[in-house]
Amino acid sequence: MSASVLRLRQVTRHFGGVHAVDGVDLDVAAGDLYGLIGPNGAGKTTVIDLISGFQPVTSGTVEVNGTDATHWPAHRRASAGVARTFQTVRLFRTMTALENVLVGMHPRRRNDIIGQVLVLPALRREQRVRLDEGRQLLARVGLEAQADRPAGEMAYADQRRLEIARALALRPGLLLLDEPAAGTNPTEGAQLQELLVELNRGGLTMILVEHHLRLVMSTCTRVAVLDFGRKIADGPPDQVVRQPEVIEAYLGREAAEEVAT
Amino acid sequence: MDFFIQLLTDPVGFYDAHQLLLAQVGVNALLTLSMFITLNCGLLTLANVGFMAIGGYVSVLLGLNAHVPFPLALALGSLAAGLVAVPIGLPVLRLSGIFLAIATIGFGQVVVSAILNIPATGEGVGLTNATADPSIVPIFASLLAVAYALWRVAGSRLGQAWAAIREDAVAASAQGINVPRYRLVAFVLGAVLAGYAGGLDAHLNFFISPSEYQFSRVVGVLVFAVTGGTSTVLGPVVGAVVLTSLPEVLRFARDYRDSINGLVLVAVILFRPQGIIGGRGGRGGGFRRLLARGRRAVPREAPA
Repeated sequence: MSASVLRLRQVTRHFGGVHAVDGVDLDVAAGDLYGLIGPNGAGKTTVIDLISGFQPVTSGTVEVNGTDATHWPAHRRASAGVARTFQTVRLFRTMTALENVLVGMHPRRRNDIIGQVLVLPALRREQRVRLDEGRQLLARVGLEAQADRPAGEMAYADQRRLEIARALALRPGLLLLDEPAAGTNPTEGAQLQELLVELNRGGLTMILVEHHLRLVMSTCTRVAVLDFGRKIADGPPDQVVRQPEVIEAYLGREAAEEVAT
Repeated sequence: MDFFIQLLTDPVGFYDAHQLLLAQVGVNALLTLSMFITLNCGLLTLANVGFMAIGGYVSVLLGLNAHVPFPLALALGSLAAGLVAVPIGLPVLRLSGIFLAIATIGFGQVVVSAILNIPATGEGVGLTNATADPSIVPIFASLLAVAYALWRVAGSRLGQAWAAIREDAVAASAQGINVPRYRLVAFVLGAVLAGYAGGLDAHLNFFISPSEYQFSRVVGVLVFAVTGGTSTVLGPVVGAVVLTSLPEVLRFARDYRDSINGLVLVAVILFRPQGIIGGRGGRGGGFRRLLARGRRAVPREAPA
């Protein structure tokens, strides 16, 4: 059994009377490409927010690499290697692609304000190392040719890729992807999918939120299904799709009965 | 036109004639840079004149009552402004956009009424500062040093974090940037610089009173920043220089001076919304975005 990267225990998030997420357990091991699926409004994005610290849990615990991170703010979780992308792209729009990626290196950059004012040569060397690494990350997502373009002017699918490159700059132990293919055309979506599989093969642990079943089934090593904030299934993709609860959540009760007979 | 002709043909005479104006230009440039620090990380705060008043009064009172030499009094005045900024910033920086602006205006008013009610400050009567010195050398030396430091900071870890927060605070915290802490750092540094400018300003005049630290003054500073442009260090300095000297340049227009002054402002806002010194990503979006921002510093995403 490989090391636990993330462990959720009875994680719950209420908005007034609405149970957006209700008692969810999740165990993500190193190397997983964990699919998180469910119909619209099932609580998928809320789970991502709870893992990355963008929303507080109402109750339950979040453990990152075996350490209790339930009360850590978002920036601390990011520094600890929990990187994320957003459902709607959030880039630093007037910065170039390369600058966006450089921001992702913030947690491991040392405080250099005095050195910058004194123009110390050592800092210029460090900056060169960062720039090289940034260009490599851009190359990894296929954006090396657009390094100096302002992020806000890039094509939409490229912005999605840039967000992934920026997240990779954190050197994450866990990458949370919230519908990375949303808003892209089928070709671009397939290319993104390829990129994700490639990154996973390179050893990156990921949680992928999607509501397209087919996409998740073909790429993920494990899948959890959410419906109305509850986890209704969890396991290898080919087993999960056969569960009647899953079919019911997606297609309705009648369809579930039809499949059963 | 006499203004420019004299500047070019008779710099010594120009200096003698306009020494106080030059000093005001320098002080205003420093004040505008103090606002630039906070604008640059996406915060519209209007507490600067309040901090300026603290810096001014603390340094003058130290000089008058304890005979502290001016450089030390100036440093202590700035430090006092910075110390006050910490407990103010902690709660207030939970706000953003126009709500933050209003809360910080409130702070400025509190400082003025505090001065009006504390006997040691001379209350509404003001203070006579016998050791005043209208020399512009310390002001412009400070301006150069501060502008250079801020220009270099842009490339530092701190400057990069500020820029990221300005662009998108949510995305910045997802990259491991401690948004509340960096905002507080900007607020406190802005306060220290405003206090410093206030100390220099108070040292110029033989008399200081609370009427110099009214709301209209901070609006003036904001206008300098917006007119000059807030995407680089140069913008605020140019804005302060141009707009502070404009009334003097327009002296030949006599009664129409204020109207022309206003027209120039309107023209800049209409035709160069990014400011005189533009910069990439300007297009006026930066400032409008600041105002449009909601109350929440880190907006919650809708559950999906």
